[in-house]
Amino acid sequence: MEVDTTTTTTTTATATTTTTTKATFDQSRFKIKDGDHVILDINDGEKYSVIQVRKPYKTKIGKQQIDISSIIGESFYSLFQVSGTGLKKVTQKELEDAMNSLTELNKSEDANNSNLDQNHTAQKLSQQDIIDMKTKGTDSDVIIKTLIENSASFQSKTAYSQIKYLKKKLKKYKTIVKVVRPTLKSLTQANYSKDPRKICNLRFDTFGQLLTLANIRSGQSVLTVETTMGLVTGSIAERMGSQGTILNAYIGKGPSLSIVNSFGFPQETLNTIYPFNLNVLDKLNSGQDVSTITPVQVQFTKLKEEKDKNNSETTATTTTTTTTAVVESIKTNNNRNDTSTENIVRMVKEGVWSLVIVTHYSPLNILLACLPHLNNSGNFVVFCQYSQPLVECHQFLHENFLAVNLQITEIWMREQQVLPKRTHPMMGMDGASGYLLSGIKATKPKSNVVKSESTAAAAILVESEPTTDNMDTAEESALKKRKREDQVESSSTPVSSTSSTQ
Amino acid sequence: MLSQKKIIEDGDRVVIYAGKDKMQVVTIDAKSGEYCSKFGNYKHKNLIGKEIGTKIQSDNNNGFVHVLSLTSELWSIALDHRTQILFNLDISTIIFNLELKNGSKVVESGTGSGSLSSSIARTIAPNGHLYTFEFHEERAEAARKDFRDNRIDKHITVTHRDACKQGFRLDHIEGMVGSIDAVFLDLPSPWEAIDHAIAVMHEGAMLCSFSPCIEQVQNTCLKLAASQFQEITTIEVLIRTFDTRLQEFEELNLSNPYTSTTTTTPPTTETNTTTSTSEPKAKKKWNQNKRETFEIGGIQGLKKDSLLSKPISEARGHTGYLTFARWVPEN
Ligand SMILES: C[S@@+](CC[C@H](N)C(=O)[O-])C[C@H]1O[C@@H](n2cnc3c(N)ncnc32)[C@H](O)[C@@H]1O
Repeated sequence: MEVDTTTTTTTTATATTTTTTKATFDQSRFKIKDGDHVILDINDGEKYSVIQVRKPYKTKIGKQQIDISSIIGESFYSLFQVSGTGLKKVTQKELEDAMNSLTELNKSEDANNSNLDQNHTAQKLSQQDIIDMKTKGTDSDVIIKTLIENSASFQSKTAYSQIKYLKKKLKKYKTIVKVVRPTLKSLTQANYSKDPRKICNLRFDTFGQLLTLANIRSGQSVLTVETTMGLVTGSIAERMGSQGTILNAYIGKGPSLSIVNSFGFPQETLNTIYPFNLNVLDKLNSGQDVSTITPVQVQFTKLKEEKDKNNSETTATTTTTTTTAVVESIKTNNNRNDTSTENIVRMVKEGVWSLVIVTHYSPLNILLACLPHLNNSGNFVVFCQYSQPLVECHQFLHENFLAVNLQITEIWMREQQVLPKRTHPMMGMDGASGYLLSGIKATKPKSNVVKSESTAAAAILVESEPTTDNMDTAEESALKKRKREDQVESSSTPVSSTSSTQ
Repeated sequence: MLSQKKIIEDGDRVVIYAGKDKMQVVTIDAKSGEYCSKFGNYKHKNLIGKEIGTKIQSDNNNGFVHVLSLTSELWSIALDHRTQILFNLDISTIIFNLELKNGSKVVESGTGSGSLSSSIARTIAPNGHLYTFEFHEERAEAARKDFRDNRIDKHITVTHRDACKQGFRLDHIEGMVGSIDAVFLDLPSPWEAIDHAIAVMHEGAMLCSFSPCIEQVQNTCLKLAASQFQEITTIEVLIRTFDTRLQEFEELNLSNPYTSTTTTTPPTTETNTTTSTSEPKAKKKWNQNKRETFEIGGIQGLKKDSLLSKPISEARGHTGYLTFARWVPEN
């Protein structure tokens, strides 16, 4: 009897909760909090500023120091307008309404741009008039309205060109800030648009492909060698979410992982990262003593520690420009991971399942230094801006039978403008995705069984090699594939390569 | 699919790899499992105890294969195509732009052959969950079986349902509604599912729609713009794979009118002379390659092996457009 009652109560309880789930769902994690790391997207990608929201809540936007305290408690991805020395929340709708109220758009079907003045003399106001309005602190909407009124050509433009004109002017006279959550995607975007060289020109789509090909997942053990200021290492840590191990072999005096701070990770996630000198691998490979290498403890900036240390800090630091990763000689600390050389060597010797190399150095020697520590069947990916160095790596691996499923790829990516009757690919495009070499490590077994076998068997083994893809040229397999597809074609009607159901 | 170990054991889910397009996914069965192909016959029981990823000889010594751990990429290549499927580049771009990670909660429709689902599961496991919706009953069932076989079923809930008509709410799963971080649509009319997507998403969540036709994209974008979505972008990504090889390349020995010194020796120079110890082994090997001279129409020439690379000619010209948008409700 007792059992019955409990069952009924639970069922009713579940029923009531489900009807109200959406309303009672904890929304606080979508709000901006004091101490959060955020990205300020200024004027829709014109500029990005990666900052931490903290006392005294001041940061430079454009040429001014702006008080950003008003963003606390608002939702991520909200829009703010610079107003005076502060930020005022605005909605997309308000911005659109403001734009529409500036002027009546041209409804005429036969409007065209044939009368457009090429020399920009269509504007009757002088540059000085405009500057005067600005220095007087005239409202941006009023400035734009005046510009329109004094434009000889605006009224004869098509509605489409009018909107384009307005948007351009709005960007010039209004500063809109979107507060974006730092993620591997937004940090890639911010850093790529700021200075792609600092992240080895690693484009987002190539980066996405790299993470897939490297089989990044929670619980994985990964070896990274990168010169992307921690973008690659941090992104892998984000994907794994506190579960897994990232051995980060740095090149230089100490780890350079400043972007890792911008993610705003909790300590458990930071603890998945084990920086060590690439030298350790080199010494291990050549059988040298590694104990002489001084280990480092990376001190990732933690909000609490900082608050304690400097209560009266002057400005919110821009994490990308200030290196906040302080290198200290090791002190055993209970809540930090063990980055002693001893421990690193132990982990390296266990072997990793993923290897990721993204540096501005020639990749072959780095790849060879790391490869012995990747387990057989483990995935590796090497990024390089140029194709030739990867061709060399490919050849080495191929010749020495070190890997299978070897591939060098490049991505062609194009953005589309989608507008009613005006849909077409964007005129501008980024043509350089960089190149990825990927593969799966596959060597002969360590305990050399082949040796004990007869030479005849070994000979057969060699003969049969051409049948694998090691010898199978891409051309041949392409031909075979084509043949197969011809057969498929006769039985079905392919539209494009995917989604025949649509 | 979500664990890797060094030694092959009974019951393991592995890939038998005999070449890029000669892969088969098998479950190691010590009792009766056998893999037979033109690369030889292999009793599963003979694979047990071998190191994964190493070259393994066939039972009758007439060939070899590699046994690899199963990953989502290999699965996408080797799986049974019950529908058109998404390939690795589109999958990678979707996962990247939807900002998926361990812990993300994701809704997907339709499940199709489960190619994307498997990759999503890998990324969001173990703390996240994938809710996938497929209105074709057999496909839903077949996907469930695959997920079980690949041991990712814990992270995926397959629901047989018409997503456009009945939406994505799973009211019996507490906390599902309103907690979804990302929604992915691969449907003939994705715009019909957008209101349903909103019903389960939280603010700031992402949506992606994959459509082969631009008309579908047009409709989807209009619907998104009218439904408080921002950052609406449509892209297409295509992969170019390179064919890389050491190949005989013939060079004619002609005098160079642009240099003052006429070279009589064929240009074998450059890397050949450098013998620095740090030089990687591969380079030395190429230098050892044969160099034969030849003559054609009175011109001397040199045959040498060169390392060459070009895109393969068989390439995909279009898969679909990917439209991404973020739901930012303003009240
Ligand atoms: C192209 S397939 C998806 C392939 C999948 N993305 C993959 O990678 O394997 C599209 C699937 O959507 C299903 N589908 C179409 N309309 C649907 C709807 N309204 N509700 C649920 N599923 C639907 C179809 O049955 C088909 O299996």
